[in-house]
Order: sequence, then structure tokens, then C-alpha cells
Amino acid sequence: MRRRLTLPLAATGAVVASLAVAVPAQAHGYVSGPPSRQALCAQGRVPDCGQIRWEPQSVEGPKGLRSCHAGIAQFAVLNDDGRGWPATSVGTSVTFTWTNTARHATSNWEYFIGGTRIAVFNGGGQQPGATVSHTVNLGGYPGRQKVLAVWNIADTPNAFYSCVDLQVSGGGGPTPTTPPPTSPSPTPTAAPTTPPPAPGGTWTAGRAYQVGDQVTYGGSSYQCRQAHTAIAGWEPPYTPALWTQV
Amino acid sequence: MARRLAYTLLVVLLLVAGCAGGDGDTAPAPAATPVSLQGVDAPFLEALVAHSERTLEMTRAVRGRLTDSHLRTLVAAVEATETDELGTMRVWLRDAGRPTTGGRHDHTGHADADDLERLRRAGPAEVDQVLGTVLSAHQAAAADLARAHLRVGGSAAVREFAERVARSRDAQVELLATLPAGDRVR
Repeated sequence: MRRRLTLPLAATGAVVASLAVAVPAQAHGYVSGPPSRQALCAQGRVPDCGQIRWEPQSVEGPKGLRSCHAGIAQFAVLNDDGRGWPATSVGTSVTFTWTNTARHATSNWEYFIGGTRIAVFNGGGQQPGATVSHTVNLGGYPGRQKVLAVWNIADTPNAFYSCVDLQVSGGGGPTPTTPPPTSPSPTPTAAPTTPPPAPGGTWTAGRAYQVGDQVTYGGSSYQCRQAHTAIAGWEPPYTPALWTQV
Repeated sequence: MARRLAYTLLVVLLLVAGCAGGDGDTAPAPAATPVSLQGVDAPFLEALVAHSERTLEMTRAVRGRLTDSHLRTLVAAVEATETDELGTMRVWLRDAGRPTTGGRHDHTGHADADDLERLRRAGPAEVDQVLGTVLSAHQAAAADLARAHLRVGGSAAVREFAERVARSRDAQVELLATLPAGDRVR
């Protein structure tokens, strides 16, 4: 009884305390297609990635970094080129798709190979959609390439980083020896590369869903974009952070 | 009765805190349906914005340090959903001409700040437990805040939103109690 009575006061206290701190803006995203290293980890296609498997959208660090893991020690696996990252076979024109679990005002998106910036897309300080796609010409970069994609946030000092391993056709680079690549899709609406969806079925509270799982709810189909255990109040139509209508 | 009194206090507090201003806001939200705020919708939303901002501070404080994979998954999903909810609430408040952040006033020293400090200082062996305890109480408070709003009216859209907030936070508390981190929650 005592606990119940104190809860509203606790809530009030939380409000007061929250006034104390300037909260940093929240924004999260990663390159889902062609799958970035953290996407491959999240899909389980590359095992033993550690924590990043659960939060591929969280590779956040100060602007200006050129590493795959934003300098975050727990995500160092992303910067390890010796992990046998499967390279996705692509043509010279590649469409990169960002999945944004939080959509924050954007300065720009940059793409690097080595130390060279090969493309930049202006965000105009505007809020992007849940997914954003950019088509980049890789004509000058045949063979196996590691592309660093950077999402620069407009109103924080931070950026989000994703490294994408590609096998660009027309070049003489080594053939990837790792799992079969997936093809990039030009459609900007959903993560174009996902593992085979789990046997669909109706959305069910209490069930654990992985990225790529499909369910139906209220006559519509949804694809999971953030691993979670379904609970009451998180029905797919109300949680765009967890589900994308397909 | 005590609860009603506390909620009234909360509303008054927020009205007073209205001078906190919204200079930090830049986050238009995903596809928030325009709503006309009624009654105490605005102070409720302002309270919940501040509460959810605190949730995100908690999840940031433990980023990369949790051990239990189920807890990590839950925390990542809470972070994602509350970030979206914050966007929705801020659009509603902005459209109503209200402040859209918790503000930047200095109220250091409150117990809730101590919880955050506990989280930041928790070592690898205890961080799961500390988060389970702190987050469980925090989300129970959010559910109570939302239920209190359901009892005092407001627009249909905000009531539906409050109802989902109450259900999801209740379910999170239940889920936390099933995890190893929930052992010490009660």
C-alpha cells in the first residue's frame, strides 16, 4: 500500500529531477542494406558480435571519426577487418538504405572509401524518414571495398557510423568466400536485406521477435525492425520503432 | 486521495515549471496525428516528456554494459519506443504552443539523480540488478502517471496514448521481474 501511494510522488520527483539535466537529443540509425557489419550481427549472419547484436543502431560517436565502431570499446568487433565479414555483391551503382529507429534532424550523410569521401547527401537540417536511401556510384572502386557510411546529426555533436563490405563488380578483387551475398534493392521503403522471415503468424504478446520477423495484426502485415519481446501496449500499429508495415 | 493530491501537485508544479522553456527542442515527430489538447493534456504530456527523457538517460548510462541478453533487448526496445513517443508528444505540445522539453533548470540533489548516479557507478557485476531496480520503479511511476491522467479526462487521442503508456509500462515491469535483474526489484 505504501508503495502505491508513493508512486505519484515518485513520478513528480522524476519530473523535478529531469529538469536538472539538459537531455541530449536521441537519434539512432544504421545501414540496413546492403547490410552493414552491425546489420549482419543483428541478423545473426555473423556470430559472436557481442552487444552490438542487440542495438545495431547505436554506433554513435563524435563527428569526424573514420572507424567502424565510433571508438566504442564494446563495439570494437565492427572495426576488426579480420572477422570475415561477408561482402555483398553489387554493381557500380549502389543504393544504401539507412534504418532510423529515431529520426533526428540531419546535417548530411557521407560515404567514405579509405580516406576519400566518395559521396555526400545534404540533410538540410530536416528530419529524415524511418528509412533513407542514397544511390552512390562506385565506378572507380572495383573489387572488394569497405564503405564507411556516416549520418551527421544536425543538433548534436554526434554522428552514427556503419561500415558496409561490398564486392563491386567489374573489378578484379578477391571473390568473397563467406555466406552468399544479398542483392541491394532500390526501394527505399524497408530494409532490403533481411534473413528469411520467421514463420509469420499473428502478433502475440510474450513472444520474442527478431529483426526481420513478420507478423500480422489487425489485418495488416508488419516486419520487425528492432528485436524485442512483445508486450501489451507495444502492438505493431503503435510502435513504428519496433515494426514497419509491409 | 493522496494520489489525486499528488497529481494535482504535479500539474501545478509543471505549470510553474512552464518557464523552463523549450529552446532545446528540435525533434518533430514521426507521423503524429494532429490533436487538439484539452484539459490537463498539456501538463500530462510535459510530465511524461520529462519522464521519458529520464528513461533515455538511464538507458544511456548503461549502454554497452549490461550482461543479460534479455535485459539488453528490453532496454534497447524501451529506448526505441520511448524515443518515438517523445517525438509524438513534442509535436502535440509544439502544436499547442507549449514547451516541449523538460527544460534546463537546476534541481540537482534530488533522489532520482542519485539513481542515475548509481547506474553510472554500478560495476559489471551489479549493473544489471541496479538497472532492473531503477527502471522498474521508474516505469511503474510512468504507468501511474498515465493512469492518473485517464481519470481526469483529456482528449481522446491523448487518452488512448496514455492507456497504451500505462499498459506498456505495466508489462515492462512484469517482464523485468522475470529476468535475473528483477531478483531484487521487489
